[in-house]
Amino acid sequence: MIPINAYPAYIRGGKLHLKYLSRYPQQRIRETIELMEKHRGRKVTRERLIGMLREIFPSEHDLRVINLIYYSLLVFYKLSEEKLSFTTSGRIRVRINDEWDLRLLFYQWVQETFGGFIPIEERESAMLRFCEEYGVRRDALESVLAGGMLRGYKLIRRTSIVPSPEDIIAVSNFLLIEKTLGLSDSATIYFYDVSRKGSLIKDMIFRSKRARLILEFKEKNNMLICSLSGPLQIFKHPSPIYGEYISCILVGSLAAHRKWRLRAWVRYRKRKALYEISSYDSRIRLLEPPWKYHGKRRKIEAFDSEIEMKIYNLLRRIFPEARILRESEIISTEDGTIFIPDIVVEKNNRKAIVEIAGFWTENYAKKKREKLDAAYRSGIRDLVVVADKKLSKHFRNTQYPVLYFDKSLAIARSLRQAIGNILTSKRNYQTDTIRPSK
Amino acid sequence: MAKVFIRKRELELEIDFEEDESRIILILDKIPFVRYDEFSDTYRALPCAYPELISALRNSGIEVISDISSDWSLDIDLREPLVELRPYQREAVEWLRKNRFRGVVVLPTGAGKSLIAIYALYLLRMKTLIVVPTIELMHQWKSKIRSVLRIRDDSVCFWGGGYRALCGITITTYQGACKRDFLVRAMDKFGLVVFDEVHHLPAETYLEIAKRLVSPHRIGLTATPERIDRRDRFLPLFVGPIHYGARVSELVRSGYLAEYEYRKISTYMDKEEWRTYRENMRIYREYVRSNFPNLTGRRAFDMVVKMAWKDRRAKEALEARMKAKAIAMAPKSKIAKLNEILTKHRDDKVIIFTRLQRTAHLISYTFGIPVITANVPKSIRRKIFSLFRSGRITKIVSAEALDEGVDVPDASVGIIVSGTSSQRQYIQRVGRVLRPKKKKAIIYELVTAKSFDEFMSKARKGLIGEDS
Repeated sequence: MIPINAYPAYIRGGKLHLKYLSRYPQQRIRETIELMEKHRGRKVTRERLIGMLREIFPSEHDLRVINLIYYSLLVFYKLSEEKLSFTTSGRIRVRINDEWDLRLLFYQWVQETFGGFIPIEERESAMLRFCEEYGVRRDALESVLAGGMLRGYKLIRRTSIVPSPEDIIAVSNFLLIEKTLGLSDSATIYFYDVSRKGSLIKDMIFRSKRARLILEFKEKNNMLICSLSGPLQIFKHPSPIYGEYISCILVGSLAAHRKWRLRAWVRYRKRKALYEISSYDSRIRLLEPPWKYHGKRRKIEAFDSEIEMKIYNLLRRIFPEARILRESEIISTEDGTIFIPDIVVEKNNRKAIVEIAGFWTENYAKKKREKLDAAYRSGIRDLVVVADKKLSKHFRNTQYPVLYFDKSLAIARSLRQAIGNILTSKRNYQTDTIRPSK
Repeated sequence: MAKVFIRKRELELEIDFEEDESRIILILDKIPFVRYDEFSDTYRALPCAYPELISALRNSGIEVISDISSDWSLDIDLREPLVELRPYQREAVEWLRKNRFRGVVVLPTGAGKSLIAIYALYLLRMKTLIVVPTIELMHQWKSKIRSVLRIRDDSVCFWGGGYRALCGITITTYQGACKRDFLVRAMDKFGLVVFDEVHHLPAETYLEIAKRLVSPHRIGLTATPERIDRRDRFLPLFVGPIHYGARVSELVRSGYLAEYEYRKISTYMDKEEWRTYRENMRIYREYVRSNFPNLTGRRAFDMVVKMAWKDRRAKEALEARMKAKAIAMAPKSKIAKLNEILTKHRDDKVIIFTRLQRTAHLISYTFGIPVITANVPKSIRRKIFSLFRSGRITKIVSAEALDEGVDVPDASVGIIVSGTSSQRQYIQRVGRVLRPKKKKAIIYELVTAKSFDEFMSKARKGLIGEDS
């Protein structure tokens, strides 16, 4: 996600407006690509690049726009850092690995030679003396002391082909909407003419649950209305992570669907404003996610509860060679309900289902037991239940193994044995398994 | 018998109950930070309400079944602290004990506030979280705890600054502790929380730390509890009552703080600097006069900032003001004066304070003095600081990074080259050199005459209101 200094937004009349790159002639955008191509393979710093981009847009005073162009270009290019490492060649030889090594060497020399500081009148001779003693170039030392870098950054292209101005604009539009959603408290998307509603809904339910967000769906005249708000709290924690989750869940859907309208309530500069955009808007006619060109999508790694996170990490530790999947399957049980196992451990095409029953009310424990019994009756035999010790009275006489944990969570050995038995047995469960869409 | 179930749920507590619902609802409605949630049809509470919640329910004869851990006993042996408390420290510990270890202790910088908190830790023998403003302070706290309580190195751990561990005594920064990631794990892990430099806590995001921990015992330490935004009113609510201990003058009299001498040195801009300064201030003032004739000072400035993104002239006015400010804060004569002072104190440990990073870097470049600013990598900052503490470096220049918290036992000279109008910053900076020592501490303040550097200097000493 782009930083706030690359987010050219302003609020007017309670609405949030963005400065899209589509307002510039494509020739200008082409010049930025030419600039990058010209410096490809050469040493250049970030500051220098931004300075040169500013020269292409002399009348643009909003530095955030220039930064946005820079970050959009970074989807296709990157600055690869070169390591600085040399040994001083003077009377005293010291290994220098970066600018700070040289600075610290100089400061300590100043302390030993002058008692902590160089009087102004002796500065010139002191500099000459240090450079002579250590065999360091004077201009390099002056540059480092002034905060300069000796290291270079080499500009390289990440993609095999040169991006077009349309690519830059499409990516910048995506980055802008992604950031806007990242700053939002709530967002609603109206999807029109959705062909695979089921998979879209399933995908969103999965991801919003994992991100601890509130998700609501409505269907109206061939239109699917999807509202996301977060977090699932009464006393809202102002963590930016929830906005980032909203963005993570929604922004991919925008690029994947043709017709939509988006409304989001955004917190920007301590104010709340409404942001609205639709796929019909000519300013975002071009919209492509960075992962179309390279890289991977961000995954949501939030857990339902602390205990789920701990057990997930424990399983990863005790079965390092197995795949540990969270809520990866939807299983229809014989009584018509749906069972989504918390964790599935998969190894050599064998699966073990781990269901967690954390601490809660007696009513919850009863329902959980009923659901697990129904799943067992539906043929799910490779099931291990990990339950809070306080719920033990509700899980007596089960046909599947139940392991109890207390706050010490000392169940590694029994978990290894129970799951190991399943993974090495030849039996496999047969159920109506539906995989959620990617 | 009525039962109430309480569990952790996404940085909150979820409360549900069985039987005798109306009685329980009446009890819950009276407790602050407990609310009904329509979405889940349960009650929700901020974790800080937990101790009150539990006692209210149990006092009413309701069974509480909860997954919140309340076993905070420390699993390490603490030996009686080696250091003896001074009378004012003993008084503060007693006061805390009477308040069930909830409260804010206000004492001058260098008076040994951390020792009070370590004593409280020793008396309570509970799992403790210590929240500090900087990574340097995390390391200082660790070594202090280890030396006072004589415990092993691995008994104290860090969260933040490249570390992610929770143990019996955990030290973290405000920045690290306010994140969801930390709070989810730490919510019920600690019985005692110590907020060092607690005046940082009331900031909107940092206050989340106090809200999201169930810890019944909370101690705040500061020399300057007041805040300009008046959010210090949250301290009694989330930490506890405020206890004002001994003052600087009393501690200097009894020899617990170093005697100090304050020297104000006026400097002047040269002709060229004066001309540029006046010209830039004229641009700014003219803009204010023509656009906001009824506004002055801070209010006018805020309006110019607001206009700057759309009005080109406002932006130019703002830039002109910044240029003028930079000149007034570091004219050539200040550098010359600094040269004189440094020559005079060649053998002393000196801390130079500046307002702008640019000025700090200029001083570092000119005199070959190590610089500590927010831009300097953390590992290098730590290295420079340890060299300074050990005496292998005796001069250091900082742009606000050393303003508070950092313990420099034998620095005897402080030079304020430039600063903000904040009284808090001034008190904290002076406090850096007040740790008890044989020598008298000296604080120099370089002020550019006839400029707003002079105005800022007066404001930070409380001679002018900060809003004017």
